[in-house]
Amino acid sequence: MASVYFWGVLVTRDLSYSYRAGGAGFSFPDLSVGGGEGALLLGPSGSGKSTWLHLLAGILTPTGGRVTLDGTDYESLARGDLDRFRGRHIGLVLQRAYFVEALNVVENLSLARKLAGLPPDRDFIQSVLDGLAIGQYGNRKPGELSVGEQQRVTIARALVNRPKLILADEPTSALDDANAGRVSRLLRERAAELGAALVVVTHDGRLRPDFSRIVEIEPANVQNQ
Amino acid sequence: MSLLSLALRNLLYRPWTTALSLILAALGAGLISLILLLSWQLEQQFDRNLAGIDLVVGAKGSPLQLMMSSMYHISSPTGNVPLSGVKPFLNPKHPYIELAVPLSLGDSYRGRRIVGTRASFLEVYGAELASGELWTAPMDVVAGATAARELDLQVGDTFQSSHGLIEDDDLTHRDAPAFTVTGILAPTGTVADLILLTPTESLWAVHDTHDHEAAEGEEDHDHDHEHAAYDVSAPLTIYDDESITSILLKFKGTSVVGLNMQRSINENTEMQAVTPSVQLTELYSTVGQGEDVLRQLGYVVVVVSILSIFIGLYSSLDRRRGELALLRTLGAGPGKLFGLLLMEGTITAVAGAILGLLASHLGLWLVARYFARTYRYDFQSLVFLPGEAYLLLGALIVGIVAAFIPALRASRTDVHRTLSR
Repeated sequence: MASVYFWGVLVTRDLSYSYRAGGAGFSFPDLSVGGGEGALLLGPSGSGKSTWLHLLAGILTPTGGRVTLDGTDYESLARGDLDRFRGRHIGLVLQRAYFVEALNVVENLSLARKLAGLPPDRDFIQSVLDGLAIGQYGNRKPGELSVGEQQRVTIARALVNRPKLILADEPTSALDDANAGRVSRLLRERAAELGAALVVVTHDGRLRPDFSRIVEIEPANVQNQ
Repeated sequence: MSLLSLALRNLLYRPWTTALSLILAALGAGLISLILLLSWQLEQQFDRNLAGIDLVVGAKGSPLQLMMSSMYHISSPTGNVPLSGVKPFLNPKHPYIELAVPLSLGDSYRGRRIVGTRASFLEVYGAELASGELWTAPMDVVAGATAARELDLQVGDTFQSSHGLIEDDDLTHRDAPAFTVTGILAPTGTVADLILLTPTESLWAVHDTHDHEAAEGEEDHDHDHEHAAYDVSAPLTIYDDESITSILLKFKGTSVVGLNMQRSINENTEMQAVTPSVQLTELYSTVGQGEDVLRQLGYVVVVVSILSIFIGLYSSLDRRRGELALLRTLGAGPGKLFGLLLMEGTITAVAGAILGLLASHLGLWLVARYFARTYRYDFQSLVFLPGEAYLLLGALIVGIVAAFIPALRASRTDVHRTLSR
């Protein structure tokens, strides 16, 4: 059994989820993504992509199966512990760029570290921002930035805790080809640098050439149980 | 970036909503604290000046007015009583009376009241000389601490009094003998600080001069000579045809004697006797009704401020749902979101209450200045009462009550649904 899990930082088995007990639900293919590796989960809207991502992030609790990250089974964590575990080890790039509007860019990133129980480390935060070419926006409110810049701030926030897993939900769907390519490259490069597993969930076929591991999600995943 | 500073930043990020809630909380707390302070100050002032006086005897008229003029030196005296009528009370050998203080009122110097009396006055209020010495002749004056400071009087200074209790140049006794300051009292915290004390005979001397001048106009010298002959330490019982304004009495032993004496004075003489503690109780209950109305108004404002904090937080939830979900993904558990919103509510309420307390003390300071000018009374605006600490505790509870439901809703943010929208 153990050998099955051996290769992956992120490993899932028999993962399924249904919104109502006993109702129609999703079941997801098994996944094993190693450190520094990337995986693209590709599928149309309504195929359960976000649900899958939220299961991987520990935001949703699966109806069946299990998720382990670097050997830690989500099931073994109490609710509050899972929140802290997610904050510490998983970097999320969300579909919409959410921020704490009252705080500037650097403070948003420090808050992410604070909530994960890490010290602020201004220098590291600045270097992450510089690496994404948004170093000059540290003192600006996120609301004052362009959509593309906001996107990069959310990527910076996903990196700032040196996570073991980076999960990105439709990171490129709102961007033109050039920017989509740049974001995809940034995510892969930074994940590789940190040795983190990268999982991108999208319906954006343009990302296909960037990933060697591609899992197609079909609407047929929806099952009647 | 702690939860507390995050809460603060969130409040500052929507300044108008926060300002409205702050102002309402400040208004509620300020109103209640002002009432607390005013009634405390009033009772302090009145109670401190009771000075153990059991009975005030003076001319017939309003009992409240007699007490106010004779004990607090507010309002006008009720009139004079002939010395012949009150002589028994002034007899040092009276079996029931421990102390009697004769008062002659009606003159003033630059708004400060001049009170003709005997040394027993100092005994009643526990006053001691800070400098100079007690009077030895008519026209000698011992000034209360506050009065001396505000009138800038030193030992050896002289001044002319005016008739009546208001500052009016036309009423100055220009031709009367001048008063000379012989001593200044140490502060007592009582009404003794606020007035100018002189032997009873001084006032007779001032007014004698007038009368005689009107009649003959050239006997000043003789009168001055005559004044020096007064023995200002002897009991007033040596005079027959003069009059005074009132007498403050302290009894030996039980109050039964006092009650009997009061009844007998009121029924059998042309004078009235008033029990200060009874008058004060009546006064408080009258003032208390106004206080109750104001206090209820304060409670209404507090309820409105609870609503304002509640609505401010609740309506911000819709806009902040994404933000709250984000905080959950970043590792903040439901408890932290609950705490964040609760903090935003309580910070608003407590900060508002602190503002309100500051405002009420500022208000009291202004009122105190008015009182000091109009009634020559000192109010302390910097005293903080234990009741005000309870007010802050109350504000904390107000904040918790107002923020509880929004905080509960925030803690139940459905992260998956919010982020999937």
